[in-house]
Amino acid sequence: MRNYLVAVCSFFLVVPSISQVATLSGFISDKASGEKLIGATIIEVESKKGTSANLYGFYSLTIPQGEVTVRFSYVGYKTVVKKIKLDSNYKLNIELESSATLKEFEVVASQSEKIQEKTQMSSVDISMEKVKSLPVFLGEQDIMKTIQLLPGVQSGSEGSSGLYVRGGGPDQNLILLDGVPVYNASHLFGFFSVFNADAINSVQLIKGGFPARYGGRLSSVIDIRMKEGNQKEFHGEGSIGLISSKLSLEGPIIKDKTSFIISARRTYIDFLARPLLESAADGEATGGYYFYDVNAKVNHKFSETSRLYLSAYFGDDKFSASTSDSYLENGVEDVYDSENSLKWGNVITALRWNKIINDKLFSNTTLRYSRYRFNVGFSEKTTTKDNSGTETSEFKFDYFSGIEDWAGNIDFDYVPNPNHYIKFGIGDTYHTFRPGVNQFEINEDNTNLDTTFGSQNQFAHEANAYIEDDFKIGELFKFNVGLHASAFIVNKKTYFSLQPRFSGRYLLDETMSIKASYARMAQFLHLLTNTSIGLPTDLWVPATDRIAPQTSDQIAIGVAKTLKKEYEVSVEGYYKWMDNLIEYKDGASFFGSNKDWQDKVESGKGWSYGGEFLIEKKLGRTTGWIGYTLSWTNRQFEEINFGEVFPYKYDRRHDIGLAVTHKFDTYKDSKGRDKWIDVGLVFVYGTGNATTLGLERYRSFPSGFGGEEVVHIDGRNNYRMPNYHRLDVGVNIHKKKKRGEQTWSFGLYNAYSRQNPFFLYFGFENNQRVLKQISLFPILPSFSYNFKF
Amino acid sequence: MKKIFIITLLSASFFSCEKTLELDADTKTSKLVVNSLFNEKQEWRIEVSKSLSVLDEGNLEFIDNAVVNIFDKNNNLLEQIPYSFGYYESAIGLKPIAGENYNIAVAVPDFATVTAEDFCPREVPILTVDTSSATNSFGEKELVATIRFQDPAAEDNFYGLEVDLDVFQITYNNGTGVFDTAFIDREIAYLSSANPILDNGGADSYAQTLTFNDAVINGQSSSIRVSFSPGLEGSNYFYKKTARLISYSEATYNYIKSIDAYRNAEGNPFAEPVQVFSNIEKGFGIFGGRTISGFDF
Repeated sequence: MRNYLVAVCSFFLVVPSISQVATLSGFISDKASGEKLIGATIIEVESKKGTSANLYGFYSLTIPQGEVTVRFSYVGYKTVVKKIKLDSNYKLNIELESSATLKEFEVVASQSEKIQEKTQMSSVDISMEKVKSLPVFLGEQDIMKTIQLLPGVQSGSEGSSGLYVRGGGPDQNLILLDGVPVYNASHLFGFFSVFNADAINSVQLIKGGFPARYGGRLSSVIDIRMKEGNQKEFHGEGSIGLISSKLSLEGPIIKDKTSFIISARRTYIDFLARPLLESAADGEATGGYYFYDVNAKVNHKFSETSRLYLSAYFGDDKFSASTSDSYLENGVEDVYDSENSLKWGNVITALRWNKIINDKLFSNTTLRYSRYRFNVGFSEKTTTKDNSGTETSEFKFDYFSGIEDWAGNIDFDYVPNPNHYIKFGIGDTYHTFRPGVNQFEINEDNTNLDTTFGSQNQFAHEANAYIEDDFKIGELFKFNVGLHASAFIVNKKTYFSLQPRFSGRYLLDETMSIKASYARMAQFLHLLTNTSIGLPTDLWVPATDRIAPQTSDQIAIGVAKTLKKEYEVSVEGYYKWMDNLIEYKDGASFFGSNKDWQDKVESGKGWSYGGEFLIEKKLGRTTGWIGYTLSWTNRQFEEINFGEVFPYKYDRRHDIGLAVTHKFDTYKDSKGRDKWIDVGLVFVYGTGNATTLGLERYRSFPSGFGGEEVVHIDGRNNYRMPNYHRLDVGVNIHKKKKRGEQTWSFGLYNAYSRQNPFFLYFGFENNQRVLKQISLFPILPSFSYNFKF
Repeated sequence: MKKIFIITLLSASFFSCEKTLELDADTKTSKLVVNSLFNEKQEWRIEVSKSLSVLDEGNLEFIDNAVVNIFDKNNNLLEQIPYSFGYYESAIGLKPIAGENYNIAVAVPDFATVTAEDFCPREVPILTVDTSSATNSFGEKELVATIRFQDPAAEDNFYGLEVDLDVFQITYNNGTGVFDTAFIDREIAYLSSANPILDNGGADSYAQTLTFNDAVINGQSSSIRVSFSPGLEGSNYFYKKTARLISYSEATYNYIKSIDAYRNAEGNPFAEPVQVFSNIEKGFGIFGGRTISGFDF
């Protein structure tokens, strides 16, 4: 380690002293909108030295002085080649033209950095174009559901947008929206994710070989970057769908200096379902559910070297139900009113300042806030009216939980020369955990009881520092080596963690490389989740003096190859060990108990191993991928399943995801306007989820008091649900309008109406008790009207 | 909360559909169920019944034609226990002996023979019980008992702790002119204790049997402080209180803990599923030893 630090420092000292080199730096952006092109590649053609644009579109390339030819490229964009006489440091901002604005689709740009050349393995960049063109559930484009189609990533139950990456739990995904963690990324009990595709610029998924800049979660990083807002002109886009509508507006406030984007979405399930619910309840009950979310971002360029961003997300899900009954007997009228509600939502804000300190050093300073809260409440009120007057009694119960973060961090990108890309930074997060508080209130005659019980709020600091270097040794070897250090201070307990990270590749030839990685991760937060229900009742809780932080070690090895310039193929094997996982004890639940959460949980371990195969076609009219995962995932807790190993709920032996889109030729309609069609197809197959079912019953002892019968459970997650498979198809019909573009999207979710399991229960059929499977969604047609202007 | 579920289900049923799944044949085959929690103060008594598939709504019938054999640790037959009024009870007054291991084999035509093994633990006496009174977080008066015992060092021990409340009524006998006392009922008090060695302890958390093991108190003189409601107040009643320290075998301990969690979770849709411990090979139930030490206070 000491040698490594010496080497890093020597670059700072030595490189500036080399007089024959100069640095070319600047930003790469979309010509039409000014949107930064994250990951665009910059290559000096003669020497083949290159670099890529960072998350803010900044690049820096230090190369020998002289006349140089530099190629700027980005997938889906026309490549730009510049000849430059480089005799000193030179700033060059480049704007690339999207291939979508060209008349013919076959004119497609060259690719960004090829898969075999990257150090990073177990990582996929998800194209927003792909997210928008694939068939979608009920017309709602969903980033998380697109990610679920990739190998190594498993969905939860039917329709769910939850992610289970390489045997990890849903809490082990670091979901970042503009660098801010999102604690609950789902709407409608998980059927939709909170990310509005219209507001998103880029998405990257990392499943292993984590670079040192990421920390705090064990299993994945999903780095989502919002658009910045069009710098050039005012634009909008929106859609009207079956269950929701959305609208995004963006444009310059001061051209090429200040821009904004605001994007909002709301469902109208409540309006659609209310008459049905009221009818079903004979008018004595009503209820509704809706969600909304808003993304907004403003950025201002103070100078060529300084830019400020303010981004925000807020969204809520609200579910309510109320009933009213009245009875009149012997002149006494009793009126019973009840109200029930379920609410949850996130608020996320980030203020960030980009500063180019010099041609090789870029800094980003961020202040951020993130909050997730969940509340379930119910109240009952009884009013009795008779000749003597009116009496009321009231009962209220509320349950709150949540987590709130205030954080700050500063990150640097230092590019001393084309062979090194160094990133380092520090940060601190102040967490406030609200792990389940019950509020109970009774008002009856002269009796009033108002009490609050449950777990106490807990406060913690999570500090981290990291350094990583992506460097080449010759042309064949490339490594990313780093160290992430973190500390967690909760009450009087401090945990420290040093997490070495390594990934490397060796080029076998120009088209193929072998890769390997190791990553140690630590997670100071736990998510308490009941396995038997799918409500957003999950509790974020901290590591404490009794509950240790989660840790994992993951190794991966793989091969990456580009075939015929169009196909990228990767095969990977991995093994992941996880320690200090927590689960509720047998019989425990989050609800209705005044026990501290620490008394309700068990700590244990888990492990997952398997292989993943991905073939992806990124260029041409037909694009998409096929992914296959073969994996095993187990858990072991001393006090669960009597200490025996049991399969994780989402232990899925086989998992296949196929996503393909095809664009047909553009043609002219009767008015001479361009029209084109693209079609999409998604197929998924997965081994059935494991669930816990009692299949036999017998007399307990002692018989009598307390019940006589016990339902025997052979083991935790002892029963396999039927396998899951589904085909979705969709077609998008695009048409250029005088101002903008319109798209009609039609889709069929579950095209062959497979009855996939959602949950199982014991019911009756022909007076016989049977095991029944509830399936949520048969074939579901959808359509939406999308527009851009 | 119930209405939320109803409306959720209504919403779900708007889209949902259901179908019937087949279960493996193995789960439809009845197995023998043997239940016996034996102790040194009581003659052997065993309950034999049969299990049914969860799909079968029939009665969980007792079996009266079983051959029930009790063996000592060397597999010497001690007694073939005969059936008698719903149970298999020793006909010769045979009782388990503390510290001894026993095997059981139960055979019934058309069922797989089941076996089990366990031992009868030695009594761990309560040494002292100190009492005081306190007020709980709900403002209610409670009795506090500190129960002290010496954990044996040479073995792993598993315990249950209970307090029995025998309720007596005092009435004035006009005929004799003296006060008579009559036993009314026996209650098992709901105990609360924050002692961290307890499996089911916790402030403001109540259980009739507090369970724990000696992992952190092995060989030590230990005391458990419990609080409980003193029961009905009034001059017409009095309570005889008995602390009971139950020494369990490991199998019995696992069974008691799991059946307690199972009963507590019944009917709670949010609760994690509970597996009830069984040590019957090829069948279900419990064959486990326990020994009770009582202390009146």
